[in-house]
Amino acid sequence: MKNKLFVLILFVIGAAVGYFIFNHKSTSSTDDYPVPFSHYVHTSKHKIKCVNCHRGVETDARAGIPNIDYCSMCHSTLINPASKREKIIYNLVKENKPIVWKVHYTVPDYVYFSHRRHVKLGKLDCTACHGDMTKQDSPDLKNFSPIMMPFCFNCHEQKDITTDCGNCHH
Amino acid sequence: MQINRRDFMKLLGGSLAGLAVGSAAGAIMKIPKSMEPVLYSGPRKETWKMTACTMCPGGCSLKIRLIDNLPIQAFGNPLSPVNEGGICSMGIASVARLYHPERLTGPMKNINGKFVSISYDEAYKILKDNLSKIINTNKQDDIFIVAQTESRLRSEMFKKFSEVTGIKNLVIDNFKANTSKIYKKAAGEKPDFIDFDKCDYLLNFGSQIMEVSENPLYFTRKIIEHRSKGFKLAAVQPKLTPSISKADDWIPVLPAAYGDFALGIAYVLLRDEQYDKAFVEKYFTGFNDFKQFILDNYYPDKVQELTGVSSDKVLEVGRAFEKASAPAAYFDESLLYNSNGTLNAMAVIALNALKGFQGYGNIKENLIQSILEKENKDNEEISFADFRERLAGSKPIEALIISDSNFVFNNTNKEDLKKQLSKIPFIVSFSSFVDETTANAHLIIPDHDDFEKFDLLVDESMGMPTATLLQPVVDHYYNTVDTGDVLISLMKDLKSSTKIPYETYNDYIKQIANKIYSTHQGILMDQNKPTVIEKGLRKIGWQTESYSSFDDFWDGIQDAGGWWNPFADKISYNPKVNFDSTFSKENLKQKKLFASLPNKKLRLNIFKKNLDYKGSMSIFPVLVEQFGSRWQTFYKLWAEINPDTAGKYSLRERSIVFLRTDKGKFPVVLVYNPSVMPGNIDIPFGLGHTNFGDNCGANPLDYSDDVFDKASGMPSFSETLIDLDSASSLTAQVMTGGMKVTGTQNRSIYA
Amino acid sequence: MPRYGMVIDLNKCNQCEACITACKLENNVQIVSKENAEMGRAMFWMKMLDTNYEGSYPDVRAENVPALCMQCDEPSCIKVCPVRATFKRDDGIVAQIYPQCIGCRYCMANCPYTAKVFNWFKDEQPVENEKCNNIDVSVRPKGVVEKCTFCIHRLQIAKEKAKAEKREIREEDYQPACAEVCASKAIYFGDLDDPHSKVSKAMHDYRKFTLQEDLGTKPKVYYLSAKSE
Repeated sequence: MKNKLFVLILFVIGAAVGYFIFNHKSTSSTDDYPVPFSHYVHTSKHKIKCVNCHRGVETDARAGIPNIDYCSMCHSTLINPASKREKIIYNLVKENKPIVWKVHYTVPDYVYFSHRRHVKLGKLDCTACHGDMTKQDSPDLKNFSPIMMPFCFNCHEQKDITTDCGNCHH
Repeated sequence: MQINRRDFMKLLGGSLAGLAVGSAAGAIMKIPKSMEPVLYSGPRKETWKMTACTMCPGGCSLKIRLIDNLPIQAFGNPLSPVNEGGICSMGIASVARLYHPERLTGPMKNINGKFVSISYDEAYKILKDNLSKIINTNKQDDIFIVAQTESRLRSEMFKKFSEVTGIKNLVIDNFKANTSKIYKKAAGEKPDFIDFDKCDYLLNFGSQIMEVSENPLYFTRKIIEHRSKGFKLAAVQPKLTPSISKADDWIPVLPAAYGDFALGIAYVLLRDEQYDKAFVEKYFTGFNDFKQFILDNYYPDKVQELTGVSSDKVLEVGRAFEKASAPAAYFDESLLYNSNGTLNAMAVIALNALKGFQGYGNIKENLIQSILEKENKDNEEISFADFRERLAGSKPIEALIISDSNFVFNNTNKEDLKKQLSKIPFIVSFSSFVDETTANAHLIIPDHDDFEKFDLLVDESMGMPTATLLQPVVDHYYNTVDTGDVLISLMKDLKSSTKIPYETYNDYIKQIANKIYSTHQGILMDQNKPTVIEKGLRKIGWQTESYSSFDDFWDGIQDAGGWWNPFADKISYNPKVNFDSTFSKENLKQKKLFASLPNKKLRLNIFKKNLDYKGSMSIFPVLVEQFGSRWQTFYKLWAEINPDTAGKYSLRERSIVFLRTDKGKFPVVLVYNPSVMPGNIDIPFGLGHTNFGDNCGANPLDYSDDVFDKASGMPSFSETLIDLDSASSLTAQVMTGGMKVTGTQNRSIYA
Repeated sequence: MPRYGMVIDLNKCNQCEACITACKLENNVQIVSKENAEMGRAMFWMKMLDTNYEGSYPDVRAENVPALCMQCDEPSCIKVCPVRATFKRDDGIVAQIYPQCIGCRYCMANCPYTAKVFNWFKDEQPVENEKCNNIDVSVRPKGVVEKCTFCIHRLQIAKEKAKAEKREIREEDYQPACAEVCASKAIYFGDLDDPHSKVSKAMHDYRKFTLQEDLGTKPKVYYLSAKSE
C-alpha cells in the first residue's frame, strides 16, 4: 500500500518535471518570429546606433521598437538582393503589413521603469541589462538578465541609488 | 494598386486587432475602426490636445491627454480665461463617452421596432425623400425641428436650415437662449454679462449659479474672488444647494414663488423711493401702473403669506438691494421649472429695471453678435410649449427632426409624449445614442462625438467676447456624420436655388474664425493676460497679436484652445422695458399658489445636481456611481427630508419608503437633511433612464403632475404633491429583496 | 528634502466634487458592482465627508469636507503593517506598495480617517472606463488595500523630467489630480517646508485646522475654514 502511494507520488513528480521540461513554453526556436531580425547586421555591419531605432531610449520611459513605417525608410528597396532575410522585410514593407514583434523585456504595470532615467540620467550602458546585442545575429531568444526586482536591487544597492519602494512602484 | 493603411485595416478587421493588442507592435499600427486599446503595448507617446466641453452652457476649454493618439484623460485648459485650468466632473468624465459600447456606429433604420444598420447614403436618401415630399407640397408647417445644443453656431446652423427650407417650426433648447426669449418679450435683448467689477450685490433667484448655470466655473471663480472685496451674494431658493453654502445670505422661499418675492423686494424699493428714477422715467413703459399695482398688492405681510419668507426678511433683503450701488437680480433657466416660470422671470427683470440694470453690462460693438447677425436674419424660433401644444392637438405633424434633445426623459408627460410621437409618420434623430426620445425614431443618423468634430463656442457672459474651439481629438471611429454636414447637404438638395457659402460645417466654422481674425481684435488664449499698459497701447492702435496670417491664427487657435478679446469696451445695459399687462390682477389670478399644503401631503421638489445636466449623466459610469455617494445611496434614488417633517410622519432615516403621487409610487431611500424646507421632499433629477446608459433608480419627473410653464414649455419641478405611503415603508424592505442600505461610514470624523 | 502637504480652503470649495471624479479616473480606482456598492464597498480615495449641519431651518449652515488620505506625519497605519506595504517616505508621502500588500486590512482598521479602501472583488469594469485607464497607474488586483498617494506617479515623472532638464523640481511640475482640476482653486499643494510655496503661505492662516487633531497623527492635509461666516 505504502509502495503504491510512493509510486504514485513519484509518478506525479515525474509528470510535473516532464511537463516543465517538454511543455514549458520554450523560446529555443525562431520559427514563430515575424522577422528574423539581426542586431549584428544592423549595428556592427551598418553601424547603426541603438538609439537610432529605439528612439525613446533617451527621452521616454519606453525605448520603443520601430515598426514597418520606420523600417520602410531603408527597406523600401532591396539593399542586398542576395539576402533571403532581407527579402522578408522587403515584402512586408511592400505590403505595408505591421510587424507583431515579440517583446521579452517587460515590467509589470505596477512598476515605473524609465529608460531615460537609466540611460540618459543614470549614464548606464545598454549592455548592463541587455548584454552586447551587436553580436547577436538571430532574433533575441531570451533575456540577457532577469528583469526581476532582485536584479534591480543588486545594481541600486551597489551604486547607492535610492531603494525607496515609492520611487518605482505605483 | 496602392492599398493605404486604413483600407488594409478594414480588410483585416478585428482579427488582427486582437492579435495586436497583446503585442508591442500594436500601438504603431493605427486601428481607427476597432478602437482596441493599444495603450499597454505601444511606445506610450504622450500628447496633449485642446478642445472644448459642450456638456453645459459654460463652454470650458479642455486639455485632452492622448497616449499613442488615443484620448484617455481630460483636464481643464489652463490657458482658457473661462475655466483657467479648472474643470468639473462632467468634463473630466467626458472622454469615456467616446468609447461607450452603446454609441451608435452608423445610421440605423427602424424596421418593425428594430433598428437595423444601413449605409449613410441610403439613410440620407430616406431623409431627403421624406422631407422633399412634404416640402414640395408646401406643407413645411407640418415639419418640426427640436434641437438641443449649447453651441450658438450650431443653433445658427439650425436657424439657417429653417430659413432656407422654410421649416418655421424650430425649437432650440439652449440653456442661455431659453431665458433670452423672456428678455426679448420684456426688455429686448438679454444683457451680455453680469459686471462683477461693478456689481456689489447679486440676488440670485433659483439658479444653482456654481453648479448648473450659464457659466458655472467662471461664476464660481468670480464670486469667490469678489467676496473678499465687499461683494455680497444672496440666494433665493428653497434648498440649500452647494452654491448657496457660499452665499452671504440665504432666503428660503417656497418653490416656484420666486416672482412674488422679487415683487416684494420691488415693493420695498418703490415704497422707500429708492429706485433709479432717471432710468425708470426714460425706459420703463407703464411704470406708474406697475408701481401702483405693486404698492397695492405686494406689501411685506402679503409676501410672507405668498412666499413663506418672513416680512422682516423681505424688508432686510429689500434694503440691502436698494443700498447696493450696482445690484443685480439674476436668474437662468432653472427659474422656469415651474408653471409660473415666465411670470417669475418677468418679475426678476422688473426688479432689475427698478435699479436700472446697474449690475449688468453690455459689450460695445459686440464682435460676435455682429458676425452672427450678418450670418442670419433674425429668425424667431418657437418654444417647446408650442411644440407640446401641437403634439397634443389634432393637427398632425408630418415629420420631426430631433437633434440631441432627450425631451421624453426631461419632461413630465413621458407616456403621453411617446404616444404622440408614435403618430408621427417620420422621425429622424441625430443622436449618438438610442435614448428615450431617439427610441421612437424611424431613422437615426448619428452625429460625431464631441471629440470628433469642429465647433466654435462663442460667448460673452464674461464681459468679453470669447471663442473656444472644439476640435477633433481623434479621427472619427465610426460611420458617423456631423449633423451640420447633413443639414448643409439637405439645404443644397432641398432648395438648390439658394446658394450656401460653405461646403461643410468645418468650412462654416473656419469662415467664422476668419471673420474674427479679419477684425484684428483680441488675442489667442496662449498670450498672457493683458496688462494695463498693454490695454492702453492697444487703444491707441498698437498690435499685440502673435499671428500674421489666417493660417497662423487658425494654427494658434488650435494650439491654445481659443480666442478672446479682453480689450472689449463695456457699456451699460439700458433696455426699454415694457411688461404690458403681465403685472395685472387678471393675469395674476391664473397664477398658482403654493403656500398652503394639504394635510398628510408633502411637496415633491426636484433638484438638479452638478453631475447631471439635462439627463445626460447615465452614460458615464463614474458619475452615476458618484451621484449618490455623499449620501451613501449608490445607484438608488434618494429623497432628502427635513428631520422635523420626518419626525412628524415617523419616517426613519435610511429607510426605504414608497412615495405615492397621482401617477404611481416609487421607492426612495430617505435621508435626513436639516436644510430641506419642512414639508418638502427633495429628490435629485438624473436617474431612472429606461434605455440610455445606466438604468438604475427612478425618474421623479415620470411621477410628477404634468404641469409646465405655459410660455417656455419647461416642465415643473416642484408642484407635485406626495402621499406618504407610510404603511408600506415597513414592507418596503421585504419587497426589495432584503436590500440593505448601509449606514454612513464617514460619520463624525469632522471635528 | 521637501515635505509634501495639502491645504484645502473650505471657504473657497464649492463642493462640485470634481476632485473626486478626477481622483477616481486618474488612479484607475475600481467601480464596484451595484451589489457591492450597496454593501458599502464602493471605492473612493477622495470623498465628501458627511455634511455637518448647524442650526435648524431656515438658519442652517452646512459644512462639507472633501477628505483624502491625510498623509500623516505620525501615521497609525504603517505601525500595524506586517509586511511594510505601507510606509512613510522621506518626502512625507505615505506610500502604498500594492504588490507587497497581503490584504490583512490592519491598516484600514487603524486609520482614523477611513481613508483606505479594499479591493474585495475584481468586479468587471465598464468597457469605456477601462479604455481610458491612466497608464501611469497600475490596476490593483483583488485583495489589496489602496489609498490616496498624492498621485505619486506624477512625482516620479516630474522628478525625472526636472532632472533631465537639469533643474530643481518646481511646484507646478507636481500637482495631484484633485488640485489640478479644482475650479475654485481651493486646493493648494506643494512643499510645506518651502516658505515661498503657495501651500506654506496658505497654511499660515488663523483658520487652519486638521481633522481629529487630538489623535496626534499630525496630518499633512490642512483645512481652512472660518466658521463664523
